[in-house]
Amino acid sequence: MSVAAPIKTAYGRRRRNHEFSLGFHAVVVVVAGYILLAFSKNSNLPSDLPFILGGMLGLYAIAHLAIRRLAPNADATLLPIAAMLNGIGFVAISRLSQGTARNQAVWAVVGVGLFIMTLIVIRDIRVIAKYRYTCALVGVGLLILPRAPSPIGVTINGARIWARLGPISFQPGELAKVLLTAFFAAYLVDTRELLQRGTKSIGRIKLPDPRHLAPVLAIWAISMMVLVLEKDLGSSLLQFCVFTSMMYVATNRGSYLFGGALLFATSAYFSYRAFSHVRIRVTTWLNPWPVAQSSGYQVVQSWFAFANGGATGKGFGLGSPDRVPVAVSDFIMAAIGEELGLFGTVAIVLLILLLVGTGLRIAIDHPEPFTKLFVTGLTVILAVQTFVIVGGVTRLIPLTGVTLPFVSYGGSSLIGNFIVLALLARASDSAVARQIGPRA
Amino acid sequence: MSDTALGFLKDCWLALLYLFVLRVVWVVGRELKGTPVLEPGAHAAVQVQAATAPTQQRKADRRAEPEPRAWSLKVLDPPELRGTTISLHQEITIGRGGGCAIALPNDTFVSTIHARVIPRGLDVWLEDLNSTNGTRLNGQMVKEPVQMKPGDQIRVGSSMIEIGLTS
Repeated sequence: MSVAAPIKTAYGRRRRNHEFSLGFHAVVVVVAGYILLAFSKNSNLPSDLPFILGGMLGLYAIAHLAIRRLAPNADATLLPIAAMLNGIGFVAISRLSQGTARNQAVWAVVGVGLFIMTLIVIRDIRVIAKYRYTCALVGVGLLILPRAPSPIGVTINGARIWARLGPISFQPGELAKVLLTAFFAAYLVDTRELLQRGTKSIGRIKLPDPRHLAPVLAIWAISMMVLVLEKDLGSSLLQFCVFTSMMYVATNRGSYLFGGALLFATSAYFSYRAFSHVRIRVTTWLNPWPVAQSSGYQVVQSWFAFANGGATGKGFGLGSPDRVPVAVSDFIMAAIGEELGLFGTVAIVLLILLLVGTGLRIAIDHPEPFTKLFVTGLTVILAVQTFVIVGGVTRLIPLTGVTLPFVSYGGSSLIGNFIVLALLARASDSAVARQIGPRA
Repeated sequence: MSDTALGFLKDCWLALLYLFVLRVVWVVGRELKGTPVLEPGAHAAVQVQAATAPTQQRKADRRAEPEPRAWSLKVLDPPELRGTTISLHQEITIGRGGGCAIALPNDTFVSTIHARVIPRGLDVWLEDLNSTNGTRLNGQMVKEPVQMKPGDQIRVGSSMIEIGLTS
C-alpha cells in the first residue's frame, strides 16, 4: 500500500480541536503549579517563568502541529494527557532539584523530537511486522547491552541496567520492551490460530504444538534471564505481564492467563528462594518497621510522605518530600502525595487510566490484527508499569523499581514513553483512515 | 504569602486539574457516542478528499442517473462489515490484505488476496486466486472462473458476500 497524503476528515478536525483546547488547559495547569511553587518560597513570580511558559507552550504547539500534519485523525486525548503528566512531573521534580528538572526539560524536548520522528518514519504500523525478527534480535541485544564489559555496561544504584555510549548513559531496556512487544505481536498474529486450537492432547487438555510456541518462549526466556541477572525485577515482571496478556488477547483462551499466573507464582517462589535481593524486597514489604532505617527506609519514608499529605496535601513547596531517597524517579508519587494529597495522586492515576483506556479503545477499533495486538501490548506496558510502581510505593505489592510513565525523572523512560505515544497516535489515525480512505 | 492562602490556591489548582480530567472524560464520551465506524449512508459528516474513495463513489452514483445494470457486492458477514456495499465498475479483489477493495482483516481463514470479481460486458465473473481455503459460490467450490447471477452468495473464509444487481 503506497503512502498517500493524510486524509483529513471532519471527524479528525474535531479531534484536533479537542486536542488543542485540552492542551491549552494542560499548559495553564502546569504553569500555574510552577507559579504556586515559587510563591511558597517568596511572593515573587519565578524568574524563569517566561522561559517555562514559552517552552511548554512551544513544545506542545510543535507536537500538536506535527500531529495535525502527520496523523490528522489521531485520537484527541493522547497528547494532552501526556503533556499534563509530564508537566506535573516536571513541577514535582523542580521542587526537589532544579538541576534534575533542567535535565528533565531537555529530555522532554528530545522526547517530543522522537515523537515527531516516529510519526514521520512510521507511516504504517504494519511495516514493523515485517521486521519482526530484527525487532526481536535488536530487543534482546539491547537487553544484554548493560551486561557488556565496563566501558559500555555500567552499574548505577545497584542495578546493572545502564549502557554508556560516549558521554550519554541510558537504559536500553526502555526501548527493548517496545521492540519485544512488536515481535510478540507479529509472531502471535501468525500463530494464534495454532495456539488457539491446540493440536496435542494430553488427557482432556489440548495443548498447542510446542513447535509453534518455541520461538516466543525462547525470546521470552532470554529476556527474563537477562532481567533477573541485571537484578531489574520491575522490568522482568513487566515483560512477563505484557507477554501473558498478549497471549490471552491473541488467542482468547483464558487458560493462558491461568498458565501465566501459575508460571509467575512458581518463578516468584524460586527467585524468592534463590536471590537475596528478592528476599529483602519481600520481607521489607511484609514488615518494613524492623528495617525502617536500612532496606525499608525508602518505603517507610514514602508512607510518611503520603500520611503527611492527607486528603488535599500540604501545598506546593510546603511538604518535605526530599526525605524520600530518589524521590525524583521511582518515588515521584510520594512527593506528589505529600504536597497534593490523595486528590493529587488520584488525579495522576485517573489520567494514566484514561490514557490506558484510550490505548485499549484504539486497539478495539482497529481493524488490523497486528496493530490491534501491538497497541494492546504497548498499553499493557503503561498500565502494568503504573500498577507496579504505585503499588510498590504504597506497599500494596513488594517494591520493584520502575518509572511512573511520563511523570518520573529519567531520559530513557521518557523517550520510550513518547515513542509509544507516537505509535498509539499512528494506530488511531490509521484506524480512521482505513475506514474512510481509498482502498486502492 | 501565608500558608493558608497558599493552601487555598493549591485547592483551586486541584480543582483546575480535575476539570481537565472531566474534560478528557467528556471528549472520550463523545468519541464513544459518535464512533468513527462508518455505516453505509452515514457519511454526511465525512469529507473524503481522495476521489477514489468508495463512499464518495457511491454517493456520486446515487446522484447520477441510475445505470441500467450496475453490479454490486454486499457484505453479509462478518457482522462488523455487514451492509458494506461496493458497486462494480472494474475488477475488484477480496482478501485479508488492506489493498483489497473488500478487505476482511479479521477473517483469519481468508488469504491475503483471496478472490476477484470481474465485470465483463453485462456479466460478472468470480475467480479464486489460488487461496488456501478456497472460495465457494452458493456452496460450490470455485475451481475455475464462474459466471454469477444476482443473489449469488460468495463464501470466503467465514465471510459471506452477496452479488446483486441494482437498477
